[in-house]
Amino acid sequence: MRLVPIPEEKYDEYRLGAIFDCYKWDPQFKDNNTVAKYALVLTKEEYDELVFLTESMDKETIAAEEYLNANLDKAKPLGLARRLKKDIESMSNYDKTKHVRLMRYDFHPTVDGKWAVSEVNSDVPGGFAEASLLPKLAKEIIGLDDTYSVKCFGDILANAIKSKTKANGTIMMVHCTCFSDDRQVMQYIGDKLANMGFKIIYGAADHIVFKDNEPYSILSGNECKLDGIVRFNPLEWVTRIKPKKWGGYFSTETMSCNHPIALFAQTKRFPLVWDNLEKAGISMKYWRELLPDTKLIKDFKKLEDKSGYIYKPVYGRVGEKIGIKEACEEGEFDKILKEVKWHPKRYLAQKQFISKPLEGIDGKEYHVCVGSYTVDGKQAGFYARVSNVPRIDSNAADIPVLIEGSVN
Amino acid sequence: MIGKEIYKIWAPKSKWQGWVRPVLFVGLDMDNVKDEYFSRNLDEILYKEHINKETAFIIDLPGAESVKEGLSLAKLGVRPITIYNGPDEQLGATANVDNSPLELAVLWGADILKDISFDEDAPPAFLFDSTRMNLIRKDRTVYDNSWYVYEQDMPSAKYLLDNGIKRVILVSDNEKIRKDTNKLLYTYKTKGLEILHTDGFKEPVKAKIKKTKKEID
Repeated sequence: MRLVPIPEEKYDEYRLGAIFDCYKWDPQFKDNNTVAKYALVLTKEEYDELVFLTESMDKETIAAEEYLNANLDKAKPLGLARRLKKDIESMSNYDKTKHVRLMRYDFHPTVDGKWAVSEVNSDVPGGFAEASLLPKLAKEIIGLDDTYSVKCFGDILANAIKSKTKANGTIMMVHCTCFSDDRQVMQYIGDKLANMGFKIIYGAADHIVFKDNEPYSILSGNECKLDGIVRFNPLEWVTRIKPKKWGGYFSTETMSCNHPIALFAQTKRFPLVWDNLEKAGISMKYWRELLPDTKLIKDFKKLEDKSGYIYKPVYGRVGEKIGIKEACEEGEFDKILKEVKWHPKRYLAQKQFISKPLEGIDGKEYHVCVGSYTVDGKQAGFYARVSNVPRIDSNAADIPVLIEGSVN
Repeated sequence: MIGKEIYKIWAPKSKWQGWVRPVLFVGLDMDNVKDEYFSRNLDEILYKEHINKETAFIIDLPGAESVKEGLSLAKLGVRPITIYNGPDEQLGATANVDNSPLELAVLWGADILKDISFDEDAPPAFLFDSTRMNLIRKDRTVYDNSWYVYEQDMPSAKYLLDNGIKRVILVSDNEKIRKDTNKLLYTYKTKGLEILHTDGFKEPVKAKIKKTKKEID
């Protein structure tokens, strides 16, 4: 894979296009421009390899969550919140043919010449428009011909939702309505679905009530029965809303993307159930190969014994609070160490892989994370980010992914 | 698409360009902009003797007033940078923050701004909408599009200092500094920036900034 620069004289045009044509409404984070000045080009071989690995891991994840859903006692090592016990039990009616299962696996090239996976975003993976529109824009601006392909994630997701939702039905895009960066994700896919004839309502998690397991919108001026739910509000936030009226999310049979079955693989404690899964005949071969060794904090006698390991929050997102010393900001690593010491159950230790950066024409090193989506078990596109440090967090820049060769 | 054209006027190339938040301009292309009256007179800046290359401003006033103050400062050589980050509500829903006055104001203001040129080292005025934290939601059916200004929405203290800014003057309609602005200014103060406060009428004085909790509640 390689970095291909956006021509300098066209970069302003590209950035404006990213904002207004590609729903990139958050082009700045602190002092960092989050629209990369490059595109990432994968070779056909790398693409084929990523598709194979992604779908292989996904097959294992889906088998795992279905097994755990049917055998909740085996899910104990996940440490799921006790207050969710009844709701998790109500998922016994989960039928994957009624819902759309969306995940994103985050791949990193390493100095060993192999890929490492840092996590699966099982619950609410973002980057929808960046994975769909930004590559087309970049290809046009750079002037690449059709020997380079783009895989449009949005088309695949929208078609999957359409296939499981009543024609011209009403879908609520559930998200944190205060956050414009959540709205941008929902707006992109919402506009797509609207063009397919669906009625789209943008609302919050508590704008839905459930009657007989069916969802209804109570948002003012938009009261109606819903035919689908597309959720970008993390489950661990939904389940903290008071008063508790959100239980219906777990037992509804109305198309949901994602259904709360996603919570089994969302926790970073997921590796702690692999022994149970393998005893039940479910292979976790690809997960074991690609995810670095993961341990509970209590399994180390002293924090100092953790050389070669990094700290990760059990329910972290967007790289926040990941304790990689050389990637942390001033004072941050010491803060994380303190938190790990005081709240060890909120963290895990994971063996650190050594990221292999790419070099830009500016001579700088760029660490890459290639997020690889699956929709109902099939690889569905890429959302990639680059950073000058070996931790991909909110400071990272979004970089479009193009493939040399055909992807059909 | 009018949003892109208006954004280009409010976010021309400059060292502060990156912080102009696009959401409000995207909102100009949605169907929610309601025609509302606001006075189109620009007021005189009463604290103008404090304008210099070492001073940045944060304007924390309601809706169109924030835009107007920014334009009045623009006429005096201070570059307005809009930090309006609230999404529009779902069509037809009652929301607790109304973006329409702001959207109308930036639309109108673009016509004034396009004829103003700035020095390369013009100091910035960051424009906030003080109605952003209208958290009053009479019941669940209301669309909550209130928002906060987070530290990541603004330049760091280092960036300000590296670009010659030594002080920040907050212009707000409230004697008590709002929670999110207080958190931001506390960080700025601890990193060596002088922080002053005025209501736009009185002489700027040392701001009363409280030590903050870790996260905004």
